[in-house]
Amino acid sequence: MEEPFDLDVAGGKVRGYLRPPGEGVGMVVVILHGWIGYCAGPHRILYELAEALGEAGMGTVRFDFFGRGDSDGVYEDSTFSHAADDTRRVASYVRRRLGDCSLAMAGMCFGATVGWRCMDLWDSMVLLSPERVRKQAPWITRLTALGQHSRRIARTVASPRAWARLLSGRARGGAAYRFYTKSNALPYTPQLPPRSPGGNRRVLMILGGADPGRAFIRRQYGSLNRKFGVGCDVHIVPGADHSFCSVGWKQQAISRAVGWLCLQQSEADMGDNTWTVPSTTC
Amino acid sequence: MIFPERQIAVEGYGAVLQAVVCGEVSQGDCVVMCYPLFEERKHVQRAYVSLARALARRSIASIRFDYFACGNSPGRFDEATLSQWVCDTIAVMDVVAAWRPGRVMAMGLRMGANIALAAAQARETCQGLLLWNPVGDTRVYLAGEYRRNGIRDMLYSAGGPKPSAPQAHDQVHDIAGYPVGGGLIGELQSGILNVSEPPSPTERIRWGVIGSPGAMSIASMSMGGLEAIRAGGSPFWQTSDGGDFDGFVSLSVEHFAGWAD
Repeated sequence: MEEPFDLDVAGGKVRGYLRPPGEGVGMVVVILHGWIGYCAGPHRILYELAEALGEAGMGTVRFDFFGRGDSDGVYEDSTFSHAADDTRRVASYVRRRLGDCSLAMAGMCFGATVGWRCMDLWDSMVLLSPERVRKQAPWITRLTALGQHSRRIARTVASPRAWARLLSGRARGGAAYRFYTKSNALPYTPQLPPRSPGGNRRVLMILGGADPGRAFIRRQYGSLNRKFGVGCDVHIVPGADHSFCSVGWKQQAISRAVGWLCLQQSEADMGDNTWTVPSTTC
Repeated sequence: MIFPERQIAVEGYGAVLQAVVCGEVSQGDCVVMCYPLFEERKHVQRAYVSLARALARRSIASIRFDYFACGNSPGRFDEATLSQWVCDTIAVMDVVAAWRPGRVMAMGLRMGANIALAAAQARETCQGLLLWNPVGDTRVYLAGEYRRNGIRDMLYSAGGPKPSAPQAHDQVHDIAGYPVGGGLIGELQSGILNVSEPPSPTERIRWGVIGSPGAMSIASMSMGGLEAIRAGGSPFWQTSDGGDFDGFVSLSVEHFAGWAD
């Protein structure tokens, strides 16, 4: 049974659900949701993943990033770096609460990229349809944001509804300020881990066979994982879209993730710290 | 203003439900917020959170909860039915009524409005009800979900047919990744929660119906003599990238604050 928890972070609280691991099991999986979602994920895929991991005896933590789901903050304030900070705080909370346990991560889309960026926290990582890693320079981000603001201002000037609100005195200053000054573009953050964390980390990427970004993601993470010394397995769900939007695709993704994490846990329990290159690699 | 916001587990109709209470629970009125179904639930999450916080700033508490097998609440979705969700809502209304001396009010959006309406009619403790774009005909709603599913299937058919779920049988339908059981399908097809007719006026409940101009349920309610507000704006419950829900929040707060006074 999951227990609700909340945790202070910069600017407010994040809220989530924690399930302690079973007797004699040391692995806790931190589950990270996507950019627009909440901690149960699209069509409850992350909730069902947590249930399946719980049935396998593993502990799980699901939480909403700051500005998402039931957590504090406003939608526009969410950033990549805030999400990474939230993840680190939740990981240290889990260590404080459950003592010495091995941490793994399962993330979806944006959450997968955030979790991968914090790879020093985890022994194993499952990336469900990760986003591409952005390596753009700060000036490109600023230019993108400027373009977004200009488009918003142009749309407002052309909107009779906006003029009606303004002239009737119903325009709200705070909301307008937020709307025109915040950008949907992810503020520049180095999305690459600061350095290779060492150790024998492994990652499983689960990608939809019909996801348009699949080939690029596979190549990009393949080369980055080699660079950071992370062993990488890949599983393609045939025909699936980006969010595994069918019961069969979802179950395939979940069972592959759970099976792989159980294997990692049993290898860790046996003290087998060497990883072999699997048959399907990046 | 700082107001308390905490997660609680509520005993629903035979199952535990996850809920979040926003505002001071020991005094004043409380709004029970009913989520819509399927992916609309995900899309309205932040709109509901914003509404709950805006109500708390006006000293009105709220509780938003997930029905059995929805959102963060435990349960198997293929075992869920509309009747169970109505009973869950009634159970939450009872819990809230036992907590506090003030009035219990309810609101819902899309199918959440239909569920809130059925629960409010069954419980005398509910004294105010705000329906946002209620589903006029649940058969049409179900057909829309199937149509969206079909479009998605066409888009991804190049990857081969979808694998069937291991436990799938004739009674379980796959709607956008949700295994929908025969019970729920049957209830949606029978139209037991249709609101194409305006609810019978009672002195007990204060009503509000808000929706986009084209919504059939809104038109029929206006014809039935119920004051229905036609709200413009995009249907943010269908957009996945965080639509503009300022109107939803301000109109809802206006209603509940008016009733509270």
